[in-house]
Amino acid sequence: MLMQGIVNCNGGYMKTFNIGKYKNIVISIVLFLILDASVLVMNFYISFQIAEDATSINLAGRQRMLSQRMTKTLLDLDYSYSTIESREKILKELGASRTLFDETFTAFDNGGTATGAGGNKVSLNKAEDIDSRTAIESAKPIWSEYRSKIDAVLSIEQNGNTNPIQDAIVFGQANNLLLLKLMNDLTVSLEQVAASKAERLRLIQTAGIMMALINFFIILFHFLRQLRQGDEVLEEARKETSEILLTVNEGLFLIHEDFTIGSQRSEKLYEILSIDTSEDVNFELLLKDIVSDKDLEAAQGFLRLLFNPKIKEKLIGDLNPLENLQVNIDDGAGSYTTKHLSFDFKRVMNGKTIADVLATVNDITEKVLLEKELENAKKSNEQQIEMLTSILHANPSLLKAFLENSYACFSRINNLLKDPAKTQSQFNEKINAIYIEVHNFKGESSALELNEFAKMAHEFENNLSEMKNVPDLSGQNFLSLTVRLDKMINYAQSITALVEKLANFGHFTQNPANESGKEESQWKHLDKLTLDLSEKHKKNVMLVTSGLNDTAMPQSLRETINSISIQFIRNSIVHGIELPSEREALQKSPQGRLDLRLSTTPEGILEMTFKDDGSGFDFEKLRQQAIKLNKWSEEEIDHWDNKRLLSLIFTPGFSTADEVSEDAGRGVGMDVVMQKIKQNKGKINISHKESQFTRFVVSFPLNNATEKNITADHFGHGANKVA
Amino acid sequence: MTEKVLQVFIDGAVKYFQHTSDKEVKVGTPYLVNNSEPSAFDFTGVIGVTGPMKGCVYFTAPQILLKHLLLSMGEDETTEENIIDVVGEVANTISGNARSEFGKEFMISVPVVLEGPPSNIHLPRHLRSYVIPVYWKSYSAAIVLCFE
Repeated sequence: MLMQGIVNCNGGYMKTFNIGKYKNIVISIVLFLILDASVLVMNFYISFQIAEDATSINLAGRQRMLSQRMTKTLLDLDYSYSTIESREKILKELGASRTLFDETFTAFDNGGTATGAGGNKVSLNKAEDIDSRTAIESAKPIWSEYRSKIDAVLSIEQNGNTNPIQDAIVFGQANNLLLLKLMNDLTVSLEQVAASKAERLRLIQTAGIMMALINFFIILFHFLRQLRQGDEVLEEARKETSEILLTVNEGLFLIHEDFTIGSQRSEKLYEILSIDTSEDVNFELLLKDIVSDKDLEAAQGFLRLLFNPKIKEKLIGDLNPLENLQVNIDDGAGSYTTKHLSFDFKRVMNGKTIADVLATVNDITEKVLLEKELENAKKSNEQQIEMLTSILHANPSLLKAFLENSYACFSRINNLLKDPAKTQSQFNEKINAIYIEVHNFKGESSALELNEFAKMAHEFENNLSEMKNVPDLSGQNFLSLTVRLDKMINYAQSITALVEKLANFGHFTQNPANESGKEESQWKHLDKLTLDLSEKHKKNVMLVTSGLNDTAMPQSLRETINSISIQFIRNSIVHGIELPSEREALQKSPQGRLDLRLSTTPEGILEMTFKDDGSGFDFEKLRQQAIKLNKWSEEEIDHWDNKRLLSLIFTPGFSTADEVSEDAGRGVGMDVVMQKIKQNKGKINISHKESQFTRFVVSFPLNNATEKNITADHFGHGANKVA
Repeated sequence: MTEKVLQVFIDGAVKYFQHTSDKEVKVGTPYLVNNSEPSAFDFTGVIGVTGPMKGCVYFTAPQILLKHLLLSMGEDETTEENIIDVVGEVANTISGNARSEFGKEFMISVPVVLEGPPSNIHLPRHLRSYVIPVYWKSYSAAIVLCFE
């Protein structure tokens, strides 16, 4: 029998349950109750009968007494003639006894009513059993005769005749004991009937209780066994579920409509979400501290859609915003552990109602990181190809030297930034000093045609120029410079990494000079620089070099000479050498000439001579520029001789170029040259002839130069104390 | 890392000092350090940042500055516990400012106060950090930012 009930649960959906499996226990209990009820009914019935029997026994007993009383009354009548009152009283008693005896006897004989002990009418059943019947039948003729004699006494007494009394007394005395015995037999017989009924009642009760007990034990043992078996099945199922939840590689849990999550959760969930609570928890609370507010809002919105029965699950499946969710778990030490989790949701249906949502979560961090790595590698490859095209033309050893120089330069810029400064003049000094470094770096970048570096340096310079115009400088104004420096270092590190990579393939490893025996290649970039600048400034210039490869010198000095040479070449082409047309007008060859020569004196002095056949210095222009600087009065400047004016070219920020370009105009260049000369304890000598030539002779003591070894790691070393 | 992002963190720290009785706070010129040799004073308040940018920001200051900072706020007890609290508060102000500036995409952790420099977990050795000196009274402190 399948019984089904429908219960309205608090969730608002209808839940049905089947009581079929409880059928047996229900039947047993019903049987138990019926049995108990039957015993009860029997009890009622028999106890009622016993009550009736008690009345019969009582009245049968009274018959014994009445038989004796009638005889006694007859004897009393015989001896009591003294007073009329006493005779009447005795006669009345005899009449009452006779009527009561007769009425009761008839009731026992045929069934009917009789007067009870309390004077009330009681109903008596006909005495049916053999012993009672025998007693009644035996007593019937005796009583019949005795009754007629008593009746005769009662009627004669009324007529004053005494003979019938003697007659009745004689009969009475003769049958008195027999009647008593018969009435006693009736009483005993009735008592036996009652006793047998009581015995039956006991038997029925005992049998009923026994059956009830048997029923109870059947219920107890049968159902305990069934319950135990059920429990074992449940336990087995629970064990299996628990094994699954402990072993499964995914986080599994149910989300209820109020977003709380079910108590059955896979062990992996705790590991994936790095939580250790098994308490009731809300899905929103679970995510709240580990995802950004934006992702949390997306998750809440999506869950609401999942619980909306109007929305088809298939339609929103692709919208799952938690398919790749970045979670950040606060490690409590000021940093986050980042994981990437993939949540999958599936509705759990109960008929047509959405009961819950089953959530599955996987840790896909490794996969995501791998994808990112691949993407970065791809991006990095693209960048490297771009970089490669920008450095392929460069001389490998020069590029290497350039990179080493760059790191040293970045380190110096960083140290300049780091120097504590609070006042306006300190800030300005800082700007100027950084300017010199950046400008120099830009020059070297241009010389090697490392255009990206040159471009970055140029923008850096623009930034510095803008800062010069800021009236009230503070440390925060330098922020953009630090960001630019960081970017330049990053770029240099990328190039270094690329160069190292290429070295693995044999390129950029060997010094071509050693291979070909031609040292010229180390200075070849100067020819290229000359050519490029000439083209850029629409001039025709050639560079003639000598002794560059014949002089042994430390690498650091070589770098200094390279750096100074670049500055001289740039200055000559931008400022000194005239346009071809102007040169022709001056009767000069349209092609300008630059001479760069290196030699060593017997005293161990390295002499670098640079000469151009350009216009020489325009002292009037120098004078005008000096006035523009606003550092000296015009009157003072008017008194200056050419030597003093010439010294201006070494002043930071001094330039005679009309426009700012990548090559000139910032007024930084010759001051860098002077700085480098000083660093190497050198000297400079300038000579010129207007419209004929300009010559710089720079001399360095060779024994003073020290080898410096600067590598890519150089940046930042020893520069990390905050204060 | 953009200048704008750096600026937000610097503003947070400056804001804190501007609420003290001695409002004169100066920011020095920012510079770079390699994480292999992290910069720090006696006490450091670290906050983790994640989202479009991932890394950490910390405020580090010498004990003497922090003691004066406590005194300037009317706190006479310059116990280590109070010093740690004040470092945490500065870090909290930085974090709060960043939270309101950057919006929902960023997650910013609760500050943690350490003695000395943060560990390698906060500062991956292959990266550089930005150091922004902060001058208050005659003392120096710093805000350090390291992002991947």
